[in-house]
Amino acid sequence: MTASEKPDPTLDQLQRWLQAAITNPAGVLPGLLSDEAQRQIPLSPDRLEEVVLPSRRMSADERLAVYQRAYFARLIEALQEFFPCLSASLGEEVFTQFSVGYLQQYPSQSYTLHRLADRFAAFLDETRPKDSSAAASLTGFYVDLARLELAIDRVFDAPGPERDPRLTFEKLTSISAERWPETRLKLCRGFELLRFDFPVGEYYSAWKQGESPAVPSPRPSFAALLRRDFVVRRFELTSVQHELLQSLAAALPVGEAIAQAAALESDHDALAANLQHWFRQWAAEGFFSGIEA
Amino acid sequence: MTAPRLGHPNLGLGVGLRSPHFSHILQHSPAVDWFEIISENFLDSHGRPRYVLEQIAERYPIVMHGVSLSIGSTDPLDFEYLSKLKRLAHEVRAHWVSDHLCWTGVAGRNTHDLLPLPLTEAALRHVVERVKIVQDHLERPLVLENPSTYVTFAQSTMPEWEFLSRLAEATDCGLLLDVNNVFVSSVNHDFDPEEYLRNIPVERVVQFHLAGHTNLGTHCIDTHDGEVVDPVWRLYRLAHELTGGASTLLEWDAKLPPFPRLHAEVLKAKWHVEQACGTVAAATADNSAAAPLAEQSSAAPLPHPLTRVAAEVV
Repeated sequence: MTASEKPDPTLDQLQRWLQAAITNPAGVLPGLLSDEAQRQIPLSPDRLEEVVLPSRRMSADERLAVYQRAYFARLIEALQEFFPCLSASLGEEVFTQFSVGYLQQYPSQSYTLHRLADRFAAFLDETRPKDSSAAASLTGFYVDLARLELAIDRVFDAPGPERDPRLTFEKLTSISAERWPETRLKLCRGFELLRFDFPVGEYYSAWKQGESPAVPSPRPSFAALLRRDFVVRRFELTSVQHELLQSLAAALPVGEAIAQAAALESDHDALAANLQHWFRQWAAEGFFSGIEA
Repeated sequence: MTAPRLGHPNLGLGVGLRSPHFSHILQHSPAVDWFEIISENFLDSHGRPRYVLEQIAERYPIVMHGVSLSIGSTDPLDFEYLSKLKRLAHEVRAHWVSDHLCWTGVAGRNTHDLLPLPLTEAALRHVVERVKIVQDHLERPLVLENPSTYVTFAQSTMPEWEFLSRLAEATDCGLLLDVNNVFVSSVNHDFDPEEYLRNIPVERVVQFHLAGHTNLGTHCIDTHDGEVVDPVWRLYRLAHELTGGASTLLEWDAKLPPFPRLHAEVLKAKWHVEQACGTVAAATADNSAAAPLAEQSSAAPLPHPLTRVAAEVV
């Protein structure tokens, strides 16, 4: 097409051009001038009406702007639903800035909106300053919070344990002392273990209770997520509990899993005293679905 | 001769299934004739959404309505998605599977919007070919909806009703006639909505959609956030008269009210159907007849709001 020719784009050119115009966060006119739009239909904005018609009450660019505004508003709203705690913590303006950047870097490529936020935590991590500044630390907290909320969303709709058998504590105690160290326990479907650099579980709980907690200082924290009756349950763990459950999830025999956890605990008497309590609680909460054959 | 509604039953008056209403529906089993689901909210669900759907599908007829088929895109069709649609349709015994005459993205991207097609011979050939492929894969006729649109293209050579009519004729697909969308687009594109309805091949209309919209003065936006306005009810009456009736569904996605109010809104269709014969007043494309002018708000109204099931966590 020459400068004076009327454009007659193919369907593919028109779609790529329109998509470039309405997904530019700076607006329709910058979108029309973007490399991608110009590659598809080399057209100056003052000739826009050769491709998009005006209506009686709106110019062609105003009409395109309906789609441009909707694209960002709709997807940012969806991201806010994924990350209610993170968006509250960051504040609407900052969350929106991150969201716009994310949608530019990682636009949706899935038929389902449920995959929209998959790389949001990784994206936040990519924005983290590469130093030991306070800003870098703060970003690290937000990355952890995003990881927690993504995991909650994942567990909510993943294959879960509702229709599976549960291994009760009574069944656990029926295993003989001789067989117990060699026993391999099956964690319930959808069970997830998480490790964080910040105490995001405590922060999230405070937010759920309507508080506006301060951003905490770095401190390793651990959590388990599982679903029961189709609602996601969160469990704060110690590092020793996390290690033990991680080993069990890796199908290590109970004896070896306890040995792994014991390496993190200097007070072995305390560990021994805690183990029965932990297994009782975890069984009651539905952590285990059975015993590996 | 094509059977009315492509042979599909008239399911009566239904509403869109939305997650805030799950508990109410399971607890009260309201006397709704049928439910329409947003297919993408259930295709990959292994949690509460799917569990609830299974129970509702045991009690009510289900229709699947998708937003990601992207039938007009120049990207390749997603056969994994189509296979999931087919499986879900089988599992919930869906009466039919619908989507929109639109494209949602290109070059591997999904904007999650229902983007407009140029109404050209080339676009028609493209969509006809893809509808045939989709129908072969699904092993059932596809039902396609007229979308609300906000732009028209200089290269278009035919009105939307002609595009849809020729598409249906060439592929034997069904039509989901969204009466609110006809009205919204008629305001946005300065056409006569009654002429649109009178030119749709009525025997292919399997279903109607009703919804509320937002009037911004210069244009209308399909916001699904309120009651159906009188001009849309008038069009519905005309559509009913022309087609002899079809399954009717109310969409309400934003500012979602309690279920009884939603149900009451779709039940108004009964009264309008009774009034249909001989009393149809013309709805105009003048936006003075649209919804009352929206109050100025910092939040811009969103076309076709997305619905996603948010996680429940303690």
